[in-house]
Amino acid sequence: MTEPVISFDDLSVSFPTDDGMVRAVRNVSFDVEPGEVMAVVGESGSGKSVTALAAMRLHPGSAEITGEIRFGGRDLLGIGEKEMRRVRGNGIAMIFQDPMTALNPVMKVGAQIAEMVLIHDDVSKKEAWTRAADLLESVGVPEPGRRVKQYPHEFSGGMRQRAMIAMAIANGPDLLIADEPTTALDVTIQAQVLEVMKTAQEATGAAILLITHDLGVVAGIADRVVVMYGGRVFESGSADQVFYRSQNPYTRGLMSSIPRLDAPKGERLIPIPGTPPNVLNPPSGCAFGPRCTFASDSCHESHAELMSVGFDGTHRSRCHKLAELPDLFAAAETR
Amino acid sequence: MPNTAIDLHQLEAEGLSIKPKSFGRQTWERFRRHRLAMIAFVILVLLISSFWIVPILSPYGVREINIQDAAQGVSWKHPFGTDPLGRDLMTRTMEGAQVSIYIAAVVALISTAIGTFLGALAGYFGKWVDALVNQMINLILVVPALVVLLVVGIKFGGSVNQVAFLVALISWITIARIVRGLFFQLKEADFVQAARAAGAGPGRIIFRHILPNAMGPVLVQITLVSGAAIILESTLSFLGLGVTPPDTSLGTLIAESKGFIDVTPSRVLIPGSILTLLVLCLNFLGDGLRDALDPATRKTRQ
Amino acid sequence: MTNDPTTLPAHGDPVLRVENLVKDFPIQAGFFRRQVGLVQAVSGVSLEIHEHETLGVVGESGCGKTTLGRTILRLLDATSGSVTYKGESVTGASNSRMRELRRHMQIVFQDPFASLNPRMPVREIIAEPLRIHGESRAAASARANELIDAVGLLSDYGNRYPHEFSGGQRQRIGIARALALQPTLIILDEPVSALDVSVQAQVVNLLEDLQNEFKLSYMFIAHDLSVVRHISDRVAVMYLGKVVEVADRDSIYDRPSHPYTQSLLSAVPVADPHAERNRRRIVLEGDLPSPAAVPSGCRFRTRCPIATERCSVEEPEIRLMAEGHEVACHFPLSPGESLIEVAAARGR
Repeated sequence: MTEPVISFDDLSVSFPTDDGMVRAVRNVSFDVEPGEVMAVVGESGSGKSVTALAAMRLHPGSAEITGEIRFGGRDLLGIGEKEMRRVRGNGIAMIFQDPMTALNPVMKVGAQIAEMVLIHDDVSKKEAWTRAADLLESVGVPEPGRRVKQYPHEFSGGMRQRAMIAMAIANGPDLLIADEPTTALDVTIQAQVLEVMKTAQEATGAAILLITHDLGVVAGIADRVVVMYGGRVFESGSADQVFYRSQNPYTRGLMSSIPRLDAPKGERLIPIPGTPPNVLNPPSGCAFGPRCTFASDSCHESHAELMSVGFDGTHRSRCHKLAELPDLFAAAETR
Repeated sequence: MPNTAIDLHQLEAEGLSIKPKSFGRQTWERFRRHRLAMIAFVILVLLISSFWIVPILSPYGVREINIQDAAQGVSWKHPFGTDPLGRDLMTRTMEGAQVSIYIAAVVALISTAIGTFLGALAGYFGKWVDALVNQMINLILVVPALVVLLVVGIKFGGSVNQVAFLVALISWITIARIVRGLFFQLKEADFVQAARAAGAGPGRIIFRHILPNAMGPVLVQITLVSGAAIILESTLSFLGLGVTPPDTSLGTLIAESKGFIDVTPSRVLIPGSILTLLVLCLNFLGDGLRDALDPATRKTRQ
Repeated sequence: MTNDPTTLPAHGDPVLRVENLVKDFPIQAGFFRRQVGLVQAVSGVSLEIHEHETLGVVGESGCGKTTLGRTILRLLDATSGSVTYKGESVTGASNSRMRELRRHMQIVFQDPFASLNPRMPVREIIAEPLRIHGESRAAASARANELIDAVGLLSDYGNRYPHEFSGGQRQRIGIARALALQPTLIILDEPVSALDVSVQAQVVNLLEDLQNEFKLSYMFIAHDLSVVRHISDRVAVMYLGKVVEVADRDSIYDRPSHPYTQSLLSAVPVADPHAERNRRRIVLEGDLPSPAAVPSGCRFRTRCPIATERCSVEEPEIRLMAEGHEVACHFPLSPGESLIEVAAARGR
């Protein structure tokens, strides 16, 4: 078996706010294999973004962080800031949700991409600009020669996101972290950007860690999926395992609550009752317990461990009722 | 409804806290956690109450002359010393500070009233009303305020109320600008649109929806304006164009004692420090209020 | 569903009729606020909403759907065109008449954090429309309690302030406020798009229940085509200020005729990995043009894979394709025709 590109091992991140300590990520462990697309799915407060930021060491400075993030044979949480800077962009690159704030508005787009090239590569300035234009072309920006000389505000939302992707792949990273890369975009532009991400991945062979709340996007691009809720991993497995053979009440609830373009018309949605947990005041016991139709007393007392389901250990789920779930799901179906 | 276990579960499922909190209460809780502002607030309360309490407890009258005790330094008998007429400076400083506080309060009141009224009109109605108010503000901004005050002060200066009125005439513009900006922004807010969609008229929209949401930043501004008013009054009085004897203010006290700085430096230092402390506390109070009220730093969720 | 005339919306006066509605925003610049340009956010939209019907309005950002909703309610003044509510002119109503009309037409906003006054307790927020229309404090308060209950919150929550609630709960409060005056028409402006996925379904179901209970008509404005498909009876697709296709839900989703509708539908990701792997997606070239500089002729032509010379010269009128199915395109696709194939056959 190959070495994973990145392994999160028992990662916990907490940070203080005015209203108290927020334990945003709790004992999260998972690996990303080379060349795969791993999606981390969750709603607001699930801890998915904080997990991604921790891998770039971009979490809030006041955060308390424990566990390990192994990348390229070392623990990213244990290395110095100087070494970390070398990892950023070169080893791990990030694509942000809002390209308008992630790009410097007073710098030409070409200069920003060229800067990425120059930081990590010893080439001439001219060479870097040529590379910038090539990169823009590779992400489908028309007339790259003219576009490099423009400022971000002259780019449309979709084009900006492409420029971000160009910057991210500038140094051939092993891992691309994309934090809600399509959320701010319109559907038709979203389709373009996903297409570009796939092409970029094929060209560079990088693994992608995709952070999103959109199950549709996940279905289209992910090989494996981690479902997070209340700071914890609730389920993980291949896309097929999670989408078709989910062994978790939260994942199931999420799937059946979204209206789908291919669902029979006129069918009533089955919502999950309640609200995602308040991060400042999370429920005792299972974070999903208060909203779960199957919850019993034990669920309100303690949280379950993440357990392997199936035989090959690729599919894991966290639920006190793991053993009874198939029957419970079947019973709920007939109701 | 009783707080049964089921209720608690439901509250938990819906992520609600057990006890409801009003906006004001939440703001107070946040303010309380702002240590510097809390200290400033306590000092301010102690300081201001001492201005009124000390003269009552003092054995000396404010204008009581004691030639044999003239021009003394700091002593147990006269903690702040005495002036050349032998008047107790502690009593006099407290009285002067009372006047400064009174002027600050009057300035705050008048400039808030004018500033809020004109700012609200400009921000809510826009167009020519806004242009008019803006021109008024610009006029006051381009004319050097101190010079105007000096000129007007020479003509009208003297009584405490006149000085307060003069300072207010300049101070209202900062409030007006803030209120105008807030009204501009808030009148487009969805909750204001919702009120319009329900048929609410301008009166209801302004007084029920926009003003209560604008009062936070205005409150912050009031603390700053009061601080600035104290300084401005002292400047005027120091130059002899503000409060004039027999009335005193912190500014007149400093002015009276400026010739004695080598002999009894305490005569300048004490009213000067009180002045600085007052303004500093008001500014810290403003900072604390801003942090407590600013919705951007308010993170109850996420 | 068949095209049986009895299943079509009732004839007679619609609840709302929008004719040729235009809303321009001048772009001003310089010291003298000179007008230097014009954004036509809504340019000649005609629509009808019938009793107890949900009209979905979909489109991407900048297509004018939000402006359309606000102009209908006269939160913005129309540049030209008319809006009539049950035969009475809204665009021409006097101020006092408009106040009365507002009883019948209400709105729910997208952002549940901006749409509730943070300084008012929930009960007061919901009671306010009633107070405006002359209800006594006690009666308005009692009615607010009923409404809090009707939208699935505990009436205990009435004394709490908005900041204590989650997005979904706030949206319920916004819905209760819209219901207070017992309107017949509610404009829902992206009511679920700011909510967590697991909460959206609650609000959608609530809206459906309330519609049945109070016989409401909805205009459901959204960019999410799956939600619109779920809730709408008829759907209007907007592009750059114009309605390009309007039809009953089944026609729009099963037999989309406008190239834009087809591409939009094919771009929506579906939460099903197998289906996604086998889908043929039309990836539109280019970006949305700016509403300040709309293309000549057909506004969609710059991105349309089958556009011809004619499309850049002549603006297509919206015309009837089939019963209740209108399209604004020179080359509408017939049922079963796929844009990809048509484009391929034309050698693009």
